Amino acid sequence: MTDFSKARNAGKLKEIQEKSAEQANGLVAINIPLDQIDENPDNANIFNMEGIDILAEGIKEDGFNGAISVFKKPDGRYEISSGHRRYRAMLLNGEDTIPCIVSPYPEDETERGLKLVSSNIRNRNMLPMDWARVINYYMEIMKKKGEYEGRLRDRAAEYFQMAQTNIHRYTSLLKLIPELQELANDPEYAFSAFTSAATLSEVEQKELYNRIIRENNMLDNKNGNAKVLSRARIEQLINDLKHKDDVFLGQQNKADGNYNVASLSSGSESSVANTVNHMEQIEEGSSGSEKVSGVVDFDGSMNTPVDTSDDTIDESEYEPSDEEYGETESGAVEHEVKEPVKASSSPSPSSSTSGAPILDNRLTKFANDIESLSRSDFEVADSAQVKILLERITAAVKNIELSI
Amino acid sequence: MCPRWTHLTFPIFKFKICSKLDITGLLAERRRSVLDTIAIFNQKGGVGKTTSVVNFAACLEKEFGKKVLVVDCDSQCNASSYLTTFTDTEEGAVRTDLGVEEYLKGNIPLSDVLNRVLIQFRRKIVESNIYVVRGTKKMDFIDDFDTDIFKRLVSEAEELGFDYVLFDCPANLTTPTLATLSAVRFVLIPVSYDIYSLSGYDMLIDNVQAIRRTTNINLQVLGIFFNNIRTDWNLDKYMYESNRDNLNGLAFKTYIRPSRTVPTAALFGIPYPYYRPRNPVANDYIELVNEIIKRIKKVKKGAK
Repeated sequence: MTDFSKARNAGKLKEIQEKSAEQANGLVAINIPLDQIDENPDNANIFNMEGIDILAEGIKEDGFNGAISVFKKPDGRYEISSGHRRYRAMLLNGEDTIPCIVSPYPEDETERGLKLVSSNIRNRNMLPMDWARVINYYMEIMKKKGEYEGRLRDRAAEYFQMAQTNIHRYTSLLKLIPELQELANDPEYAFSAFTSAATLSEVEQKELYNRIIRENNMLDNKNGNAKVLSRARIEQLINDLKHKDDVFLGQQNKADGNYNVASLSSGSESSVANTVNHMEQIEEGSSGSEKVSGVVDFDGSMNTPVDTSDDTIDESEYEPSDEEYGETESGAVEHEVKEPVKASSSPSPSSSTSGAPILDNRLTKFANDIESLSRSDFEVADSAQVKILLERITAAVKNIELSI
Repeated sequence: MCPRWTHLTFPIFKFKICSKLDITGLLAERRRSVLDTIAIFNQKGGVGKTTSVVNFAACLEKEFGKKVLVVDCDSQCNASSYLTTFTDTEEGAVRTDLGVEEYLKGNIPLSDVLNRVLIQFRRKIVESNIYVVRGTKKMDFIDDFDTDIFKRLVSEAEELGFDYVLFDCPANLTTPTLATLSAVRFVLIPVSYDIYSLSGYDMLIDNVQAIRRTTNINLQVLGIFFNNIRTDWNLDKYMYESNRDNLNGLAFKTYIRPSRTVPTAALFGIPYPYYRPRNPVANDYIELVNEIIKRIKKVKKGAK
């Protein structure tokens, strides 16, 4: 049999084949005037368009490489499918044209939407809220299209190559109030901590936001390196709002803004009493053994058995936020009361594991804190209770020092 | 190398499967899909462009239940004379002498230039679902013409309910060819066992690129199919296999085997699937058309 591949013209055949493979359906980039190009209207709602000035400067320095991809619309204009940021940057630079790869206009709207999603999720730096919006957008498109098998969330998980639970986490972010969404977008917070807050009402979410901010400020005061709340703490706050604060919020709604001073004062008293109890037990624990974490709470509203060391914090969470109560006297008292409680709670879990020296360090620290507070910042009306508390704490600290 | 008998038995088995498609094709007709436009074009002559157009049209109509329009852009008018054999001789047939030239020049609607194709099948002359726009002898170089004229033709064909428009192009770049390439979505290239049919394809790639830069960004090479080859012959086998492996998936797996009955069918003026429905070559055509339809679907899906 003749070996055809050795024939003189076989090379020609090969050339043709190579050319075909490279060029037959190769993409062709054309320079298109910027004023003939439209953006996809959905793009700005889904993706963030920040940092375009930086991109524009980069393009100015290095020149524009590659091409954006556009559809040719039936009316002769073009619509961007991928490259909105580069397009904006070129506009900013005052260029006339931009290299584009033109593809045919998808016949129906859902396909255009899907194209927008698929071309953008791969090459962008996506923040959690971007993911949330794009997943939601995709699911809306698929719902409209109606051609999918099984659950929509499974389809989305397959499409975005994520776990189903992640899909749920992202989409539930959309039910949050804007303030919480901002927090979720902050890379320092774990966004997934906020997902369970989606079932809370708007009022509750505002309350949650206030609490997180308040606790954050305190963390900043206490030790410089820990800046934000941990995921566990946020989840706990949400959990508290879900399970225990129903009563409180209900009362507040009934009171219609004129909150019941008596119930409030009694509440603060009980919390003070609790803290005193707590301190006593710390004393006992420090002298004897390390069972500080086994603090018992006496508040009747606590039905769910949660980790008891945390419950003391929950106590403080029953107090209303700053916004709602303003700078009233009782509010000031609560501030003072709350701080020691919070501080006392934080050493308790660690003490159970790492022992006395750390505990007493922390105790001295917060005793100092309280002293400084009582001296300067607030005018305390009902300071008797605080004084008692202070005395007990200092006594406890001395005890500890002596024992060491 | 497969022995000769497999050529006889295997396609017959496949033919049975294809005949089932008839029903699904008819069902599909009700919810009509979007019109597909295909130009069958190679800048080398004698590779079977016209024969392929006629037989593809017949396959699409007979086996897949589609309504097909054939536009003859070749000034030799072979496709139109093939398809209008009975239309021109039969009394009472719907026909017109106007053709592509008149359509390119003036503002006449598509319905004025349509000829309904009559086909002799089982000794009866029946009306088919194929329509043809005649080619005319003086249409190759028209001075002023609108490059978008065939785009108008395509949209008119869509309104008239056609599923496919097949353009039979001549072997060079003439006025109707340019108009065709700026209007169609796909180009289908017949090649044969000789290397010159592939150099025609080489030239075509450049032209397709140029068209895509200027008038028609949607233009795409759908694929290459082999016409008139048999793979138990060494040269044919070499060309078929080397192209199948090296053309980046553009070559169709199905090829059309040579047969004397194909030119005989042209002599009788009957498209091959009607002339010899049980012949293996007819099955080749059906098989190839099936592959083309699948690839069109795939390409469209990929574009989304």
